Amino acid sequence: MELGTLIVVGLVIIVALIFDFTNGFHDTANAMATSIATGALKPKTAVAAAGILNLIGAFLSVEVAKTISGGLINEDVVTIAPEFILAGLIGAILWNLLTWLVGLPSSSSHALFGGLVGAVIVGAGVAGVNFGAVVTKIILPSVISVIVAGLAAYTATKLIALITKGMNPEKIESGFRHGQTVTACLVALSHGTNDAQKTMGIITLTLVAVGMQTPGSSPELWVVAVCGFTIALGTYMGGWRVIRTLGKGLTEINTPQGFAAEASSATTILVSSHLGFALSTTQVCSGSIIGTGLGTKGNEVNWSVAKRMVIAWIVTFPAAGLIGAFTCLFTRFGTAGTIFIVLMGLVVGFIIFRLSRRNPVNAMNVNERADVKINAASDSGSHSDGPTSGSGSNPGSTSSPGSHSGGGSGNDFSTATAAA
Amino acid sequence: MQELIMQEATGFITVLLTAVIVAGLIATLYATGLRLWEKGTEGGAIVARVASIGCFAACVAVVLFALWLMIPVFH
Repeated sequence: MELGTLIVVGLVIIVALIFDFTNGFHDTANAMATSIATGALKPKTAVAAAGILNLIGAFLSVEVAKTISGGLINEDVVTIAPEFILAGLIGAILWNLLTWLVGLPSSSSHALFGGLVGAVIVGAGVAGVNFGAVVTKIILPSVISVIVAGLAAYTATKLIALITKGMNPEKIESGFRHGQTVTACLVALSHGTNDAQKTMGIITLTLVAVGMQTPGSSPELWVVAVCGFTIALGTYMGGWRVIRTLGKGLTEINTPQGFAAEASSATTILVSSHLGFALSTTQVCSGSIIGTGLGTKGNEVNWSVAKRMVIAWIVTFPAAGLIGAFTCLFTRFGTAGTIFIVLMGLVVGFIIFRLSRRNPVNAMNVNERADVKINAASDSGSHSDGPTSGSGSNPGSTSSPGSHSGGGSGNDFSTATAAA
Repeated sequence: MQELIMQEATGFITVLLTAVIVAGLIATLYATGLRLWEKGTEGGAIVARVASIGCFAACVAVVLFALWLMIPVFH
């Protein structure tokens, strides 16, 4: 095998794993944001549970996806070269990081598909893209997931309020805490069975494409293990910025609302995927939280946050597509160009990470505010953990007694950059 | 084309109804379980307590069914 191909395959695997990591840490919020917001679980416990369940989920379901693009790209007409996959992955990673920086939930799969489609348009022409599938698999499901999950959560919230009317509020609060924990764990497990598989699929199909694995075979054990551990690690690191927006930014959540939202999310995800109508976990979970906010008397949904979130969903596919398309331009310069775009991706990723350090959100301060700002200037109450990410070595960096976990989460992304 | 739209619309309505009914059912069962449990502990009514355990058992059954759906080995 040529050295160039080998390098590209190696890069695809590494970049796919970085995507897997961002996928995990961007989506922790889906399962755990409401549990963290209501205090049903301690922040660190919540992300640890979600991480473990993602790992278990990764091993439970190892059916490889038949196509990388899920029908969005006419794979009969266009062969998806490893370079396209690489460009698509970089588009998805950068979009995931950008939305994380501003604390907005967005679908990792839409970002991945957007990046791929953008790369294919530049690399192989518009004919390669199945635009009908873009409508039925990306645009329609976005609208549907919010309506279905929102209505389910609204109904569940109303029913709970009706049945528990007149009960001791403390008993209601503690009673739903257990239910909320169980439903949140179900969402985390289903995330592992779906999302880790995406990266496994990409790596396996790339290995098949270059003849290093027989077509139609299951993923190698090392692929399953590495993908599972990477998504679990990402989940454990916790995208605290997104967790804050979903848990605190959209509406006030107590344990009955959290239970209603998580139960509706788990139900919607399972029902839709078993009726062949797979919906985005991120959009389902956000829809549930909005629904439960609407269903609670005297509770308001923060529509400005909801609006920003919806805009982020609409923009995800084309924005990741643009980055993917731009990135794909450079792959025309052969292996050197491919290495260049990976390095550029790392640099941009690092810049985003540094920007996030201006106003870090972590396990300690996730519930302190409802908004995520990039500049800390207006946020005097934040636990600033020093100008460098190496502050974990400085024991005096946080004044709180839990400086162990403060230091750990202060470094929540340095592992990613180190791994990158 | 029209057939495709009909197919999508039917799928959407099925998902919508199933999700709303199932989520409503889980919420009803769990909330009723809590309510009856409170009644059972306060008044000592054994019937309420048994009914409450019945509700929670139904919730556990729903969770087990969800796990069965999620894990491909089972089907």
